[in-house]
Amino acid sequence: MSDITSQNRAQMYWWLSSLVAMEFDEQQLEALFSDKMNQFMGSLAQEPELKQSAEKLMGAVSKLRLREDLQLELAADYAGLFLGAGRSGVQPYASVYLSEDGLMMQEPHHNMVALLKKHGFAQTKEYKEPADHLAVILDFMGNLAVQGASAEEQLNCLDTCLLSWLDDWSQGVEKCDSFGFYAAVSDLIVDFCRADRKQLNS
Amino acid sequence: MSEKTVSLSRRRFLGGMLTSAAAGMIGPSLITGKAFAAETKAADLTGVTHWGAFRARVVDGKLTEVKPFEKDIFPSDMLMGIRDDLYSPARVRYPMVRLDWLKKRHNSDTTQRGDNRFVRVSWDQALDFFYEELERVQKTYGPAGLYAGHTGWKANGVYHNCIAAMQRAVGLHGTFVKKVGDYSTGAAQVILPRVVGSTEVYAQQTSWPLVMKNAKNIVFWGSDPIKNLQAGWSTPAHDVYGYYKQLKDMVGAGKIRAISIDPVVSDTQAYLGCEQISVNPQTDVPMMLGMAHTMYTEELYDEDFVYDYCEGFDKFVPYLTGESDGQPKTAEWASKICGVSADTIKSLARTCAKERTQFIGGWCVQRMHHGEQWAWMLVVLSAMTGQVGLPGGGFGFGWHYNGAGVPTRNYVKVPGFTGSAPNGKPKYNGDFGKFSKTIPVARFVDSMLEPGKTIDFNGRKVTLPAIKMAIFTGCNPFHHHQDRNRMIQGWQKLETAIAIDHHWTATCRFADIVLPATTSYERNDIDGFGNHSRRGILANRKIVEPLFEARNDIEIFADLCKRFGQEKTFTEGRNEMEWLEHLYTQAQKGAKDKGIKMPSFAEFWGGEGYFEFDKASEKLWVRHEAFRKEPELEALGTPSGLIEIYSEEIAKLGYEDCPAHPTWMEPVERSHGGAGSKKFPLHMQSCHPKDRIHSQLSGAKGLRESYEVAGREPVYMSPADAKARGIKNGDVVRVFNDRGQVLAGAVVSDRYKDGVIRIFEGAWYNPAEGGKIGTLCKNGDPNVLTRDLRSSKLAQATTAHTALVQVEKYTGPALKVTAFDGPEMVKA
Repeated sequence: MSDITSQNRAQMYWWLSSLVAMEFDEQQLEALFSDKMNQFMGSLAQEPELKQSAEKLMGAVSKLRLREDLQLELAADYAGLFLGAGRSGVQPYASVYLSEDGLMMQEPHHNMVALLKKHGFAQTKEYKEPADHLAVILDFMGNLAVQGASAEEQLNCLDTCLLSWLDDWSQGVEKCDSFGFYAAVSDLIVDFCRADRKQLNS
Repeated sequence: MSEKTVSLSRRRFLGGMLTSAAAGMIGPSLITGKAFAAETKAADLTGVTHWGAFRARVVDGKLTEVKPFEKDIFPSDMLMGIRDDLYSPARVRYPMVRLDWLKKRHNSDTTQRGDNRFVRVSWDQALDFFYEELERVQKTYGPAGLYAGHTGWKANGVYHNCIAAMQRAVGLHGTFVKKVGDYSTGAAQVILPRVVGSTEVYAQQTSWPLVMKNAKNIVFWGSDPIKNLQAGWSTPAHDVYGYYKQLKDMVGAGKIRAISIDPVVSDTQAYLGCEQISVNPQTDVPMMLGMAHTMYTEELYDEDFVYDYCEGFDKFVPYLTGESDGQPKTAEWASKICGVSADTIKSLARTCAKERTQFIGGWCVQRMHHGEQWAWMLVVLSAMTGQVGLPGGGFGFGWHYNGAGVPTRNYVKVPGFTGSAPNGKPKYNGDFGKFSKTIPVARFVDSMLEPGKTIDFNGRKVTLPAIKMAIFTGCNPFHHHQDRNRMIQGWQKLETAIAIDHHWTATCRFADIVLPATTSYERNDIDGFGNHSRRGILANRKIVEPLFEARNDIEIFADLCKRFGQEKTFTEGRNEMEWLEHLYTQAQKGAKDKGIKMPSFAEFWGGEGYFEFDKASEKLWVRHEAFRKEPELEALGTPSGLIEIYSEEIAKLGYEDCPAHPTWMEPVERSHGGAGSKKFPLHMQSCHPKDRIHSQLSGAKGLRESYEVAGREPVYMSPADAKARGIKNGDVVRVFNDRGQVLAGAVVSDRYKDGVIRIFEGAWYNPAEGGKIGTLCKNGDPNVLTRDLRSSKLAQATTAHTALVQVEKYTGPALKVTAFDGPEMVKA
């Protein structure tokens, strides 16, 4: 895989990671509403595999622009969905979906810590979420891409750490996110991971 | 799509566009190239909880296994909830502020409370809000506007005491409204000091070896020790179960007779294999009066004891005989009310009077309308046997708690972090005006709804303060207070509510500011091992680092104090380990005076972290023996110094709902033919749970799954009640009355008397629509259905056990329980 492709894939993973790592600040929202971002999403929408989710996201972004107190409201959506502050949370942790007891910080978490370590990485202290948080795994995928990890290793991470639970997660977001921005984000994450899997396999 | 197009199009959409577009979007990297800290060696660390001590296997900073502490040979199954509790998806992870409160602060729309719209804020921002609200409330309303008095079952440990931390810090800022009493023993703890000079309810009891040696009969009156002794205020050692094992053998061998007076086959009855007298709910007092009448008319009662040790029997007798009210309290009269045959009542009276009988009273029966009367009457009944102060005789109200009856060793107590700072002076020491500084705890919602109202309370007048801001830490009133829908109304009157907890309790969900606290598994501490027994002192080791942004209560409140320059006064300049050393060393000093040789703190903490007091120092002891032996020197703390069968003081109060001697008064609602039973025929018990400590551990998934039915809290009912309603085991049922409605999973059990159902308290409130009055609770919280009404003007205690309901098979849309914030979908 060319360096440029790897760089681009990494950027994509990092961007997706940023969408779910934490709430947006004003600066991020400004970037989200920029023409460039709109063009970028438009170009994503030209990809058959991403068409549906990219268009959904573009729609959600347009709707978001019109939302009153949008930064706070979106932050409340985020807290309700991913920080446990809502009644129907959609936990963004692999452990909750993959461990027998549905708890946080179980085997999938420990495996992720070990995987990070194997590749010479550690989670930053500033980010207080467990290592099996979706955003950390997506970030790691980006790092694998630029590190030039073998396709097999990347596929393995994609399959065991992400695609093994992303469908469940994304269906949950779809069900619980009444505004729809994060539902669109979750769709795009799933679709991109699938598309990337295909790409890696080729 | 061919491979070629994939790679072509991929180049197209990734061709550098994102790099510029996303410049402002991609946040800082979440991972770094830095090397990991070295792996730590696996360790088995001791920890303490209200349900027992344990060892936690910790590997690389993660809790992997929990085992009972090896000194506890009767460990509680609740220990299996620890890992789930720690790693529960219901953990509070970051400081949160309710969205509308964030926008409008104290002018927020309070009808939105409970709707779960929160946003994350930084710790600094959250504590700034907290501080600014304290300032505003003190300046605007004075101390009567602030309630920081509510307390609950804080986690174990002498240092990390969230109640003390809150009251010390908030108290350094300003004075505030406090509470008196509690939800467990509200009526008994107020009446009993007037009757026997002591609250009795939390007291050590006669040593079990003496009871088993001397008692012929043990009467468990609404008490279920086998279920409830799992829990203790300090860490229970559970040695008491060894005595129950012996008792079981004695009962089996016919050496001792045990009788459970209870409409339900209790766990204790089932364990001991003992007799049951299935009394109708809320009619214990008539049954007792029937017994007293038998003892009196058959001249079986101990006249000398009543003369020498009691006051006012002569004023009680006319009521007993019916001379004063025209109704003799005969066994036949009692039988019609309580559903127990007159012969049984008489026979029990004769047995108790003639043979050594230990009365063991629980707390359920005093959590009823006029609950004071039952506690008082149990004392009178026991006094009439003349056995108070004898081994294996007399009465006790705390047998099911804190391992009562296990002899106490020669011990010292490790002192704790206290609720007021030495030399601390509040910044605001304002005037309460017409309002009272202290309220009876169960009336705090009245205080929100009816500020300025003056009520009677134990001989005083209390003017309910207008509470505008309330702070709760390690405390879940949306579990333990009665009548949820009334609470929702009350909370709407608050301008600001703050909750500090480690789980998203319903109280957090109804707060404006929610702060994440650590669990006891995330900090170092020391606790007593064994309560009344004083068996030892045990280290609580930090098992894992605090999850997410959770902080210890003491750190939270120290940080709050920083905002008004009182941090040093608050912490007294010590950090966690310095505090533990300080507290331990104080105990060590005291030990010297008692001839106990304790290791230094360094040896204790650096070593096993367990110190045991000498078993040989156990002292057998008889409750009330000192009074019996020396009634003048060891007089009771009552006005007469004697057991007050009639209270002159209570007579003077003139309370219509608490007369001057034990009296049968119909409760406001009662099953089995009592008031309101036509519309709502079933009596609902909301006893202390078997598998939780109140609402604690309700969030522990594995444990919960061991008892829940149809994915929710169970409701237990008799086969006949179930059949009459077409209900089968495992059905989802709706339990309802005029106060509210809940869904629960049916358990049909022949242990239940017809007309009696039970939902254990502590099931997390899970409204279908958060904050909406009348909404259906999906998880069977019984306090949606209970009545928020005083026991009497004397105690103003909770009356959770005066609650009638109806049950029907639920046919509405399937409603998933979401109280625990679990995932929507989990792979099987």
